[in-house]
Parts: sequence; C-alpha cells; structure tokens
Amino acid sequence: MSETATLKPRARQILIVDDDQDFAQMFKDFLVSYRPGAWIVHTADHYAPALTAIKTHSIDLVILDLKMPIMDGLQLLPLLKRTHPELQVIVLTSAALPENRAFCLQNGAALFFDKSEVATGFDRIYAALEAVASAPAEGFRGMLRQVGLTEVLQLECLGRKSSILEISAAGAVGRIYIHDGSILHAEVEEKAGEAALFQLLGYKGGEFQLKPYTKPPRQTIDGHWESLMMEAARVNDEASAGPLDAHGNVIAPPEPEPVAAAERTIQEIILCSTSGELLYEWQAQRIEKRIQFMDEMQNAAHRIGEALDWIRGDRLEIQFAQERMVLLFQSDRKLLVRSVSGGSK
Amino acid sequence: MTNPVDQWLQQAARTRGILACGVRLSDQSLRVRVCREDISKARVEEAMKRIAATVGTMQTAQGTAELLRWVFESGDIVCALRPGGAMAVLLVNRDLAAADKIKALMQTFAETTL
Repeated sequence: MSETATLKPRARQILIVDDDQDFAQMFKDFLVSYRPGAWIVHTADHYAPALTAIKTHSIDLVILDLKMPIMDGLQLLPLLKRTHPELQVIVLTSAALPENRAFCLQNGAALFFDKSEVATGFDRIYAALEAVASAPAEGFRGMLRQVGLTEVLQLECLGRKSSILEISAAGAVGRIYIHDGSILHAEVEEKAGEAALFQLLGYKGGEFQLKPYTKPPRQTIDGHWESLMMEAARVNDEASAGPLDAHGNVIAPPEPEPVAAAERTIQEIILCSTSGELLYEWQAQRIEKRIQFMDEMQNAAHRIGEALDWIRGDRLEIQFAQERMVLLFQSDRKLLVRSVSGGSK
Repeated sequence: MTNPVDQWLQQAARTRGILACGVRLSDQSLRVRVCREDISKARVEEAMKRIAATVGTMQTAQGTAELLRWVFESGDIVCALRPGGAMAVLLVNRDLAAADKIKALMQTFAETTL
C-alpha cells in the first residue's frame, strides 16, 4: 500500500483498489496533477490492504476495480457497503458489462465507469468523482419544491437504487423506502403505505435527504412506481382543486367519464453539475448539446425572473407536440427528463 | 366591440390566481394586464420580451414548443405559443389557481382569432 503525501487543509482521502498497479499509479498521477493538494491518494492491490486502509484512514471515496484475485470487486462492494454504509464507492473497471453495472449500482456504488473512458474523458470522471466525494456521508441534501421530489424519486427508481428518501415538510418528517427501484414503504405522521406516499408527494416545499437503505419496518406498498406516482399526482391534483367540507375533507367531484390514462414514458435523463459536468445519464441523446441547452435555459430563467423581481426559478417544463421536457435547476446540479405520452418514442 | 385578444385578457384577469397576463402578437406588439398593484406593467412587458428571446433560443435548439411553465418561488409563468410567433403569458399564483382553469385559458388562446 502506498500513499502520496499531498497534505493540505480539506484534502480528501481516496482509496484506489486495483490489482493493476500500473493503472492505479497512472490514475493517482492524474488525480494529483489535476488538482494538486486536493487529494490524499491511497492504493491497494487487493481486498486485504483495502480493508486495512479503510480502518486506518478517513477515506472519503473508494475507486474500485472489479477483476481482482481472491475477492473481486463484485464481492468486495457489498461487503464495503455493509460494513461502511457511509462510504462512497465508484466502480472503475474494464469489465463494464451491463450486468456488472446493474449489480454495482444496486449494491450501493455511486457511479460506474469504464476504464477506457479515463484516457479520453478524465475531465468528466474527475468532475463526477469530486461531486461524489463532496456529498455528505448521509447522502445528498437538497431543497424541494412541489415536484422536485417526484423527479428525485423517479431517478432512484429508474436507477434501480436502494435508499430511504427522508422528507421534512409542514412540521412532519416522512420516509419513502426504495429497494432495487421499487417503493416498498412510506410513512408520515400516523399514515403508512400509499396514503403516506401521496401525502409526501403532495408537499409543496421542504427538505429531503437521500439516506442509505435499511429494511423498512414493514412493506406497505407493492405497486409499480410509475403507476404510484401517477396516482399520487391525480390524488394531489384533486385535493388542491376540490372544495372542502366542514371537516376539511375534499368533497369528491362527480365521477368523470372514463378516459384512457395519460401515461408517460421517460425517454431520457441527464443529470449534470452546475458547471456542466455529466453526473448521470440514461438513454441520453446529444449530451453536450443538451447540457448546453440546460445551461441556456437556467440563465434564461434567471433573466426572466429578474425582470419580475422573482427569485429562484428552479423548474422549467416544456411541452412539445409529441413530448415533454422537464428541467430542474438546483444549487449543485441540473436535471433534464424527457418523456413522451404512452409508449411511443 | 372588444377584440378577441382583449376579451381573452379580460377573461384571464378575472381568473382566480392570475397575477398578470399578456399577449405578444406576431408583429411583436404587446398587450398586458396586471391584476395586482405590486406587479408593474413595465416589468411584465420586460419579462415577456425576455421570454420571447428565450423561446427563440429554445426553438433553435429543441424544436417547436407549445406550452412552457417556469416555476419560481414567487409564482409560475405559463406561456402558450402559437405558430407564427404569437404567445400568451400568465403569471400565476399556483396556490390559488386551478390547473384546469389555466389549461382552459390557454386552450382558448390557441383557438382565438388574432
């Protein structure tokens, strides 16, 4: 195990676990020269020195290879996440097979990169790595407004992640348990199950935190997440539009004529940092142009808001003839979600 | 007799939750009505000019949009676009306005003879 003594205040400690020590050294050199003093880099050529390094150093981030002797990365990752759930892990491998990617993301890896991208796209990898290392141990913390929560939940489900989305709003704290992309349980105040989920998704402001997954006290939800969120939108639309009776309950409107559900299918997702580095993408098209577009629209929202003396324009919805695009602008990242009606592309 | 654009503005201004409304015609002229004293007509006009510029950028990058909604802390801006460059803009208090009313207003705008 070797160590680079680039001590500076707030330097982050990173551990590269890779049996290919030439690659580990090259990656270490990249990191150290890219931003001198920002990192203390440790390396380990297999699981045993890696576990020792994690015990003896305050590691912020692990870069994990998959193909290693004795215990490979696919075995080591779940072990690390069980014993150190707060530890951020990025997988960097030449075995970038879809099944490996799915396994790693399901088992707590923050990101998954192909080693071949290092030579040509180190800037992007570095930006992602810095963002992950900067995230607080308990998970991202962010403000939400009305529908921002829905997108966060969609991302977790689409990415087949396992996490707990803890929401503080209206004086209450609620939780949504997501396992392998499925919503298993929700709770807030006295409520549990779908009623709690719909209430949480109906909040118009508050804070959320994504926390590491732990098993919920019970499973109260078993529907598909897309159907659940559509139902939540419908319930909350009715609640916001409907008149109240003397007890504060929404008076149900007359039953409408049955119509075909306006289902939407997500076609593309891009998540990038405020400076435009790609952090996550799913079926993204023309990524650079999309990121440039997000940047232009964020600036435009600022200019338009400025004219009215309105602040914090954090969402733009664009309805085209056949598709819909939603852009979210948060303090540390931007999100684009493109969807179409039904199953058409 | 009131012209269709003014009729639409009147209807929009009477709708619950609408803070201001405006129409930009294809010759780039603006007609604006404000419903609250703390929002000036000049500000709404300036915002509409900036929205029009943004729409131009958007069409170039992504194609022809039909409806836009910006969500701000202070309220929403909803914008309906018509072929030829005309657009309607609503400044909305989302806590007061009903989504179906906004949708109906924009549908009316789409069918209004300009």
